Amino acid sequence: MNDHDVDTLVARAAPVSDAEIAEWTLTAPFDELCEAIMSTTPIDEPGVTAEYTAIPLTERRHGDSPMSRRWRRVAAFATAAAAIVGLGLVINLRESGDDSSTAWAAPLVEFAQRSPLVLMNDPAWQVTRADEYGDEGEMTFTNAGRNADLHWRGGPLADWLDDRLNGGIDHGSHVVTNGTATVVQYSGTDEYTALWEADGSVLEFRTAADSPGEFRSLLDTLEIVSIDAWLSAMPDSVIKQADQPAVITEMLTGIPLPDGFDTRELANDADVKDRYQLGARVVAAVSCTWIEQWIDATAAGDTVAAQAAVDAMTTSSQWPIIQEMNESGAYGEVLQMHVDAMAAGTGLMAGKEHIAESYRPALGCGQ
Amino acid sequence: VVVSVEAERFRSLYEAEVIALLGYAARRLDRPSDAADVVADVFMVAWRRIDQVPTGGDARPWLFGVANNVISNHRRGARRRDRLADRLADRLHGELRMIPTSTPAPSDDVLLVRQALGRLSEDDRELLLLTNWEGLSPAEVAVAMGIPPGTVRSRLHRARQQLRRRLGPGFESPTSSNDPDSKDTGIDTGNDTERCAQAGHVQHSGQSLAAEHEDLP
Repeated sequence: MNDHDVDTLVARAAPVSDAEIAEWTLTAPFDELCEAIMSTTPIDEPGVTAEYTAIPLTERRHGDSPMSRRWRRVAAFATAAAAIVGLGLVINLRESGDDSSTAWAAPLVEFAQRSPLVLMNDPAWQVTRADEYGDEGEMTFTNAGRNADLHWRGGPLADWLDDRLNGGIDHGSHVVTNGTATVVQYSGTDEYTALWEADGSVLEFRTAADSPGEFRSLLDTLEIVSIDAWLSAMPDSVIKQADQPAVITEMLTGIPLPDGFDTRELANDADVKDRYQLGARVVAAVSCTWIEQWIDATAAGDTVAAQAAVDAMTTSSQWPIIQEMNESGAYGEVLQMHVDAMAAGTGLMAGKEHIAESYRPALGCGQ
Repeated sequence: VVVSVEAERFRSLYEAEVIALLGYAARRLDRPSDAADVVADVFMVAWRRIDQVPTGGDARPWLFGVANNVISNHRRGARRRDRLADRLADRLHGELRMIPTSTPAPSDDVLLVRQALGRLSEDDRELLLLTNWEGLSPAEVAVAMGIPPGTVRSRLHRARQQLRRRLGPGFESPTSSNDPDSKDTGIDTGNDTERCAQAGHVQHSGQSLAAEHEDLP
């Protein structure tokens, strides 16, 4: 699936078209809104409007000041010079003599072993995200709002280089902690990327930089670390498997559970999950059970069981984990569509589709 | 004289952008009445800061940028209570509540895409939506999101990669395709008109995704 296909999918997912919107404005008094606004004095009230306009339109658009860029460059050079270790992952584990990795749950150690175990040796750059998809993974380092991404994927390296060099600027090779990278600049941008091969994976490090030299200095901060150090660097948002039972118990707070619902199954997850993903899994497990009860009870004419499911799910907007997830994603909105359909008694969403057809893929039931 | 010039400019801005802004809000919020709230809030900001609203083609993305902040506050329940904006929005609520939803019920595939979009970071999601729902060019996206114009293409590429991963194993990496469109060149081709037309076409075509993506997980 190429970029155009992805764009097509996204475009088709739009809930309402501009043509339908235009009809709205014909039936509602939007002309009055315009005149009413202009009847007020056009004087800014800082407390009311500043928060909406001040965030991105000046600071982010024009980037860092020259002073902050200079400071950042000096700091990057000062913290460079990471040692070239050049050891494979298994060797690193065995020779480190550090048995503290046994403190981590086995699936988490396996996750770490599948990663390149690379961190930026600069305390200003903190890991803010890590995720894994099959044999691929990625993590994000953040420094004062500036991001750098490290990907690890399958090869061959030549294909990735061919892709990046197609229109990019080749800045030559650079020795990194576990290989020799090719540095490429995206034409017309300050975005740089470096690709190299190590331990059977293709690694890519990408970020914006003032110059090829600054990007190379960031590459120099990369170093291979122990499994324990790598796992210890994971952000708070990454839920370690050993912590999952306690986190899941906390996420279930305020959620009415169906009879016989077994929460122990929820903790049996080998993947590292960020808090949003784990929250979606927890909410899906409970909600899908309630929805299935409602579907079955409605079909059987069991109004008591159906109403119990409705009563439970109509509280979902008040569940603390849903309120938390609403700050960073639309899962709660999709769930609410299903709840509304249950409460209406028809099970029909947007007047047509029945939730029996949509709830499993929409809510991630059984994943 | 100053006020009349400002009023004329605001009226032109309102007439030119109210549908686009209402669409922006309605596609991100469940209820038309909530979208009306956002429209009222955003145009109140624009009227009070009319001297800061960019001229020409940058006005629309500027309004989208304000709307994005308004909606973020709306979702956090932290929206400031602007009595005037509330009163104005109230005048629209009754009418908009009565509007029937003529949009076809979403297919499972559409719900899957929406769910995957919901799991992206806010910036990645907004990049994709501004491009494909609002039809903005990379330069306009930069204005709306307050990011350097030169980075939009590469950020957009990464956002698409993130979406592919959220969608699952049926959506391969672009390196497996020979389609030149899949190449991450970082170069703005300037072919924005074509992309807008594509987005508009697919948004309203009503074609089923099932026939094209039978291998969806």
